[in-house]
Amino acid sequence: MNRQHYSTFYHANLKRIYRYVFFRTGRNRDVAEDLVSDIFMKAFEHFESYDPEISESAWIYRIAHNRVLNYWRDTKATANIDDDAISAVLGGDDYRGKYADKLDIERLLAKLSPEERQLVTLKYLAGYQYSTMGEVLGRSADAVKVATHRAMQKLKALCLPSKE
Amino acid sequence: MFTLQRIIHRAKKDAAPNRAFIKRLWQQIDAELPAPTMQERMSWFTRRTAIGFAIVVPFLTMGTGAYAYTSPSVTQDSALYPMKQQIERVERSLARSAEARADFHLKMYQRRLEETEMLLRAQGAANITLDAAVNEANAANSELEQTETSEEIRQKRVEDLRKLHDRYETLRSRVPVDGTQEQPVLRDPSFFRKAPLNKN
Repeated sequence: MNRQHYSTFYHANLKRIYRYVFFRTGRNRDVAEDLVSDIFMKAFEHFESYDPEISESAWIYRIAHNRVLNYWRDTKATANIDDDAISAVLGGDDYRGKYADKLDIERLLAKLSPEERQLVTLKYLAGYQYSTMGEVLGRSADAVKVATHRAMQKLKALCLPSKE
Repeated sequence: MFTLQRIIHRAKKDAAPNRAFIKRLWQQIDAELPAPTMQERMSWFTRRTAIGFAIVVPFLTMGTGAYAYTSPSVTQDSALYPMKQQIERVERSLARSAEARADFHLKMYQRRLEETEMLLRAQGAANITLDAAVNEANAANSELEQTETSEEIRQKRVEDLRKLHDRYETLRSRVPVDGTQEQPVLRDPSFFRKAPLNKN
């Protein structure tokens, strides 16, 4: 394995992946660090067999996404785990006690559909580019851009004070 | 919109991994990585060397330029003389007023004389440099005629010029005259036309 190549890959992707995992696991730093360690160790093990047809960012994102799903599957073994289930946990009352002062973004995200939440998280919280997002989501960059823009409009509307 | 941006910005800031974690995880991975190959070590060495050169070369260039500019031993027959002339041209272009230009030419006059003194030791291009010194003296004369400074300051410059003229005459008597070239004539500052002072 090329040491320099993996070092570049690691430093280019770590922060984005960490942020993505952090938001998908209820902003729990300990959990995020454990998962991110697993993700990058797994990426390290499979780095030489990685398919160069997809970008490195998209590849590591897929590993991260699967690892997060596995985490929720292990945590809530009885539930059918999908994005809806995760959002139910993130937006649920059980998380609001400890992190009540930090849940603004989760409260807002919980009001979006799973797809919209994913787009906003990837673009505005993790910091991905539309081209990479399109690659990981299997859509064109333009379509992703439009959908993300709509999700943001929805979030903006949620931030406006109620007229009632 | 402002509120949403603020919420996102704060959330993103809170979600940054801490440095200790980044370092710890990299150390964990690094322990698994094979030792760097000779080629990688060489590339590291080459990179370090290139960076070293990139830092040192400008300093050396600046140092050489400073030496060329200030040293009277850098004369017509020196490889650094074009650099010296270039720096002087830049300095000349930076002198905006007639007074500043006069000061510049006085300085150059003194410098050419110092160079001539150096050249006399070798009897080389002393004549050429001395002629260049005359040109500088005459240029200083011309600028002094136009300067609108006080009479006191002007007189001080004229005195400086006279002192340098005395030095010039001494040097000229020591340098064999080149009969094939027409010599520039040194104007005497005692014939200065008094430019009217700016009453404002």
